[in-house]
Amino acid sequence: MEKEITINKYINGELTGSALSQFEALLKEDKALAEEVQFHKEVDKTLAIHEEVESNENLKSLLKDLGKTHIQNKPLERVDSSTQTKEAEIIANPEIFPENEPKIKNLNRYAWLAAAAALLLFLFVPNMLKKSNPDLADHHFKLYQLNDTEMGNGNMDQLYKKAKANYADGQFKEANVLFREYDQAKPNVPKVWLAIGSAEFKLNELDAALLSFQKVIEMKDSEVYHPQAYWYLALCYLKKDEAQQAIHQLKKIKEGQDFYSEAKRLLKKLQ
Amino acid sequence: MPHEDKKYINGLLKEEVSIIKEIYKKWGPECKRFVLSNSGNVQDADDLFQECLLTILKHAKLHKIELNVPFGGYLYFIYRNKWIDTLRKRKNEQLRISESTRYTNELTSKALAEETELVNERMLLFYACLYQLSDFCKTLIDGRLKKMSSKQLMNLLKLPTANAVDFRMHKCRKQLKKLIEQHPNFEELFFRSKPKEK
Repeated sequence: MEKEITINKYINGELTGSALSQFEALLKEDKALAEEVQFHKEVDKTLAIHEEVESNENLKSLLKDLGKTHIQNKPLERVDSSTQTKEAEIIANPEIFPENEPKIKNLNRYAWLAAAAALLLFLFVPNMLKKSNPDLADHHFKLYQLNDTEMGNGNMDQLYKKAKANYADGQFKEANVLFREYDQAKPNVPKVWLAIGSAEFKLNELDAALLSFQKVIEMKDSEVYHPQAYWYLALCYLKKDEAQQAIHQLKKIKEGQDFYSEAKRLLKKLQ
Repeated sequence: MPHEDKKYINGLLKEEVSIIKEIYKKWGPECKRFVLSNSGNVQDADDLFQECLLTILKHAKLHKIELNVPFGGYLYFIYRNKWIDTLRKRKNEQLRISESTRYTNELTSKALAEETELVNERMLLFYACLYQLSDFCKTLIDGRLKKMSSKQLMNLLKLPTANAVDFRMHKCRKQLKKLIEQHPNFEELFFRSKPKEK
């Protein structure tokens, strides 16, 4: 058992002093062990980077915005001489490029499309009666409930109470200004960020809400709030119509934790 | 010697808005043209372009990318190959790719793009195997990836001591290694000498 503990501590970079030297000497002797340790380190590093990039909502939101501007909305540019593609050749050869086919062929295509649409309607009308993902998110969303505990000294407590009152009244913008002011003075209170995220959800500022709930998970000693954060993260993704991401968050809620039964029910609807 | 376009890799790593914007402005329309002339739509092009930049970013974070080729060609081969994979998955029977002649001779760019793709595929394999583990192991490894301390993991998983966390973590890592090595794509992704032809 001790060997396993030492290997794990080494991979985590937690071995120091003579224990580290001894283990490094052992690695030089035992090639199989060295290879195994190297493998685990590589897997850890790879997974950590994957997780880091995939959960970088700021970057993803930037790419999404740039995509909207430069790929989705911008009209298709003519092919210039330096970027001659075969597409340009195809434009001159209507038999390859469908857009330049004679109109009668296009009519044929529309007939096929109409038939396909009719078939799709026939097959999927029952599914169309189901709630969409954003509707499901709204249906399940309940504002995070702040309790009445004292939140710091006199002034701080007042600020918190004012923010909380705005929050309860549905004045989410005003509430968040005050919550953030509170956070400046007393940072990283998980429930404050759960409230900020909830308010952002209500304001439909979903990318900001994702960051707020993610922040709760990253806070030190915030484990007790993780199930709530996962639940709200899932609802944000669902509202953004990103069901896979929502499922991923819901699966993180473990049996016996808050929101477990709700997560289980929602997962059933999504899978 | 690194190519002057290395600035695009560095810009992605530092998430510099101006550089990322420049990438979109310079090569976004080209990617869109490619997808549109190969059975895709504008949304496909947008998703593909974003996916490619994230793939490059992951590669750059994992191993230092020695960019000694123009970024445009490197990016082109990444989205081209990804798009061919997408079309194959969509079971597009008549796969006839209409492609840019601009980069055809950039074989070094093509090789680097294939390396990036390989790194990405390995990453996805690790991730897929992680999700086959028990909930306990997933939480443990996931917690460690999020840099949770042994004490935090001990409380989260209700383990008696920090040593118990290390012991269980080692067991979980071994299970993960076994799953990775038994994966049908393992041999191909880790021991193939030549990238697959597309």
